[in-house]
Amino acid sequence: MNLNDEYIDQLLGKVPKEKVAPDFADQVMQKLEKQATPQSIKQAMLPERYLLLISLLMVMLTLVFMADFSLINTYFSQSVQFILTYFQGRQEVLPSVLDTVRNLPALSLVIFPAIGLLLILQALLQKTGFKQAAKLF
Amino acid sequence: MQADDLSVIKSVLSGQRNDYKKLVVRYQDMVMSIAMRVLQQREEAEDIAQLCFLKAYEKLATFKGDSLFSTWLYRISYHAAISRYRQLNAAKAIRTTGLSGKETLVADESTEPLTEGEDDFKQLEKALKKLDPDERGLISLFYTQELAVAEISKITGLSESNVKVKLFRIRKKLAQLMKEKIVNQHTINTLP
Repeated sequence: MNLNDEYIDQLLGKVPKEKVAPDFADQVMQKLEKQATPQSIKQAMLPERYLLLISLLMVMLTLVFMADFSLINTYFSQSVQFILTYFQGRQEVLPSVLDTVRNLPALSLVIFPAIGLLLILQALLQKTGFKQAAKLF
Repeated sequence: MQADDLSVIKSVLSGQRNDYKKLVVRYQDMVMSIAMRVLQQREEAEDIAQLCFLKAYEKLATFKGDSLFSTWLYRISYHAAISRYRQLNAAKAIRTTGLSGKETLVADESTEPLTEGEDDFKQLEKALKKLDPDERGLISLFYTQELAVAEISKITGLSESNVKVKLFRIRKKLAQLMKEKIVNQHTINTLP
């Protein structure tokens, strides 16, 4: 047998194409019928999406309260003070904001990354849930 | 063909879900050929071919028409089949791992000996089973689907020159496998 490139080429060229079962297309269409459209899944999951975010926020707030009540107290009081100042149209708004930031405890530095992580977690849960619902790869 | 594909896609996206069947019928053998060549098991290949169409349907809105629909579908099929092959292989490896933790060799269906009296084509089929899944995928794209190297490059993500080099090496490997098997078989047969 002369196994040169040309001969291998010729042999490979003879490899036949596979044929699917006659009802293949029907089977795919049946599966599509059973499978909700991506759009409808998204719509169905919309309320869940917000519920998930709200519950995660509640968990985070609870944890923060448990960790340090005075922190929340500072946040709320300073925020209220800032809003009041803003609406009263006082000129010393900026210094008061800076003052607020300066006075915040060091723990507050954790809060903002925590919020970011919360949103990422929510997006991940959402994505996983969506994939499972769509029964894809 | 591309214009026709695009009009079907437009129709499907506008809510005519049943029109998708036209695309399935048009490309089912093509997807099946790739899946079958890579996976070498008919049931698995049919499953993955169906999944490819479901996946393509789900992602249809992301198809912008920059490439041919067939190229886009080939890409999904090629990668899905290889990924499935690896999953199956990993599962098989776990099943055959003994208590010692050492992996035992899996008896592959491709261990059938090649014999000199056999038809060359049958020998080639057996040698093909010895290739890696991505190599078999390349063979299917180039020889069975008769795609250009540029298109294969888009499908596989390899550069054009890399595709050419790989095809060259695969041909050499096949020739080597066929020669080795025949020599080995001949030696076994002539042993006293």
